[in-house]
Amino acid sequence: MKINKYFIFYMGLALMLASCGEQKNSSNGALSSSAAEKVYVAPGEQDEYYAFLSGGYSGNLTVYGLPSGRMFKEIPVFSQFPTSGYGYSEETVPMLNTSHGFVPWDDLHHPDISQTNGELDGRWIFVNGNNTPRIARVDLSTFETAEIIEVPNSAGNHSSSFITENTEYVVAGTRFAVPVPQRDMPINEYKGNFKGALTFISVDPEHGHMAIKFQLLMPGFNYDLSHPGRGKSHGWFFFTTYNTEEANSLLEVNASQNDKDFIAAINWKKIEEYVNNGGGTKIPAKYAHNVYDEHSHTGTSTLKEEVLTVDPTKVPGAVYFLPTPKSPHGCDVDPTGQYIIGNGKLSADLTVHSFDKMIAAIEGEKFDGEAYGIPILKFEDVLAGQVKSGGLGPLHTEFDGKGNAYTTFFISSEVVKWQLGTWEVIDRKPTYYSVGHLMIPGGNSRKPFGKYVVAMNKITKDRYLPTGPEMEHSAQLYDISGDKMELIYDFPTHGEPHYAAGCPAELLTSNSRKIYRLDENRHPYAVTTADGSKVVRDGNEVHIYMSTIRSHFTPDNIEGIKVGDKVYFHITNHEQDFDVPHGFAILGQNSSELLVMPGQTKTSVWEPKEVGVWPFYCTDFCSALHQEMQGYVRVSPANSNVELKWSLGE
Amino acid sequence: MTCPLFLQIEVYQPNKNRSQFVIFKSKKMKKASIAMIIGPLFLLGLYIFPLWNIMLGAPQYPDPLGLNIHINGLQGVNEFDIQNIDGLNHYIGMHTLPKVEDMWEFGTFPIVIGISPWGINRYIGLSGQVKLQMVPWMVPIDVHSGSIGHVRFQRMVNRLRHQFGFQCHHEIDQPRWKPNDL
Repeated sequence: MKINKYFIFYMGLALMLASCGEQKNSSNGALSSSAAEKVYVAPGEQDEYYAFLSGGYSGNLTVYGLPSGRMFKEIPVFSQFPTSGYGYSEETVPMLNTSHGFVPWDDLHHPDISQTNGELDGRWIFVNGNNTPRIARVDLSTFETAEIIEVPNSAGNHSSSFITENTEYVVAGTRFAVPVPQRDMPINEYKGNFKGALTFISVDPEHGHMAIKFQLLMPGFNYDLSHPGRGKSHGWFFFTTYNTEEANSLLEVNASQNDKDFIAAINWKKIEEYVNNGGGTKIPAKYAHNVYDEHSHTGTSTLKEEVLTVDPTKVPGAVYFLPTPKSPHGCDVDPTGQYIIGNGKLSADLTVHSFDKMIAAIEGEKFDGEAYGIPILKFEDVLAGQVKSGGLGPLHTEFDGKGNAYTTFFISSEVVKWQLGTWEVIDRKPTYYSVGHLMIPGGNSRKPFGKYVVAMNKITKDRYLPTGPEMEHSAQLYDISGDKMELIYDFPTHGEPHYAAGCPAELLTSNSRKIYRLDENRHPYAVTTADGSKVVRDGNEVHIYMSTIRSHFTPDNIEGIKVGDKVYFHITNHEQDFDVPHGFAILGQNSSELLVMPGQTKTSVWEPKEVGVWPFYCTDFCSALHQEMQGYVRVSPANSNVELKWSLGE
Repeated sequence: MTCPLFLQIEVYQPNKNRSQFVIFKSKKMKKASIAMIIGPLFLLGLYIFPLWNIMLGAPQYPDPLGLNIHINGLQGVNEFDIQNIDGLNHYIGMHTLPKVEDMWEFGTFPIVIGISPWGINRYIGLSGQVKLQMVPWMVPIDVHSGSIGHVRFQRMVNRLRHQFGFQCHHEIDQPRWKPNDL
């Protein structure tokens, strides 16, 4: 009997535990398995979307697939990149030239894909360099940096690089107000003397080439972020500002005094017209314009001498201030172009302005004073609504194209989904941790692809295996196809992603180049035929016209080089097959290796300092006989008479 | 079963009116003659379409490399396929694929194909001494003569296939590397 009692008791307990366990397992299991299915891209299959994540202080742009979160490529833009030789090879060094000389690094923040009629066209992606103000254009057929233009009179190029809906302009606003032109003056005379330059860079519709059309010299506020109007508001551009107090020290206190700062609304079409009619003032300004030519595989840097500036008070009806509470950070425009969202980063609420109301207020001339001659509209007159989110520290908003908006909250670490028009909060999901930007593919266009949102976080903490004090930043992927957001994936990113841009894969896949054609190679030192290799001495400069094909260099034995020579290795890759690059490295190279794509020519300079026989080899495992792809350079004393000769297979 | 060819030969009567170009003895015979004339027209396709096609895939070649053998030379299915096949063949010590000038067949074939079946059928078709039953028999004869004998054709293809030897390139243990191949 006793045994039976215990037996029944234990059986009951076991059943309870078992059933509890089962319940728990089944609920978790179902959830995680459905999330796993959503992000699982089976071996050999491909992702649905491209995502271009800014690398922040890495200076580069990274390419990911969604929903898998797999990283495909790091595109070097503002930073030297030994992986490919970018910024080290003779051809790419000019890309990093500025009016301050060679600047091999920057802080890359905001990618934006080119558009036609407000929809992504997938031709180029524009990115900004924050520190030494620059805008770069990356070609989305080669996934390489094609052009970099420096932005003069700017400092902290942060409210950049956003494009208008036909890629008429890529716009770059300054975060720091600075003296324009730069001059030696006391810092504490900032107020009233510094300027905030908003730069409109025109984009050639055919080649994408950039040129500064005009710089609008605004009052010395800090221009934080910006977005273009679209649809009905096309022709306008909106910038959030902070530090309208014009403090020059301890900004965390002194720039948070005013209850409201502004969103600056710029009617760029009006200013364009003014400029086209001869308006504006040319002032001296030094800035570099660097263009990479796909056929010569070479970048050239040109130093420009002047820029056209516009005083906003000289163009009536072109610039207005919309009061916006609490030092707004993000400045986002919904797909219809009707709503302009200012995220007051010290606030719990979001402020949504109405474009229609703004136009009505301008037409009714209902102003609430002015700042430096620029009319200020009344807050109540332009306000469409406020989102009482219950979150803290709103930063950025994206849209799904179905009437919903998604806002990140840095302090409360969450993404909040709310409805445009009703301003009602629909859903909220935590992020891990302290989210900055978020991205919905096509989110900055008339036609977002509202299936996924990527939240890019500033703090990683315990999300992954610890890797010492420094960790890559975490990102989370949410499925937003239903009413409620669902966290489906978590992946590390590279550098510090700020904003990102995404697009459907098919927009880019068919245009993505597989090779560069050797018969289109216009590099002055290219070897385009199998027997064209040679070595030419010109004083103490030696030019080696070298070619590569699986699995040898031509030539692979070179003699007659002397200590003190400057040896240029011009390597042309003769392959015309997809994904067969060859590398080049030589012992004692003071730069980096080169990675030469099929049909491409790249140059590395080598200055041998000691006599000897020095090896070079292919750094990219190119074939079964890759390890045999090697050669020697004989270096003789400076005064030797060793004859210059080169060979292969002799 | 009787052999239709013999039957035809038995009923064959030399045409008395050779000066006349076309004499159709019956409606049936007319059909047969037309078929005999049109039949070899299909061989004209060889001037446009390849005689033989070889596609080779490998795990690292999701887009396979392809070779089209035309009567007058070789063509890659994609622009750089021949160059890439040669490149792969190179490092297993094989010769490059033959160019037009390396194989006399590429010069001769277009002429022979143009003349021989067309000539035979034209003779028979125009002579009017044709019966419909003959047509199926003439087709293999045409093909045969058109490529100057099956043996020659087969030898050519074999030669090309031998040179197109990169199928095994990812299994190289002993590269047949000869310095001369450089």
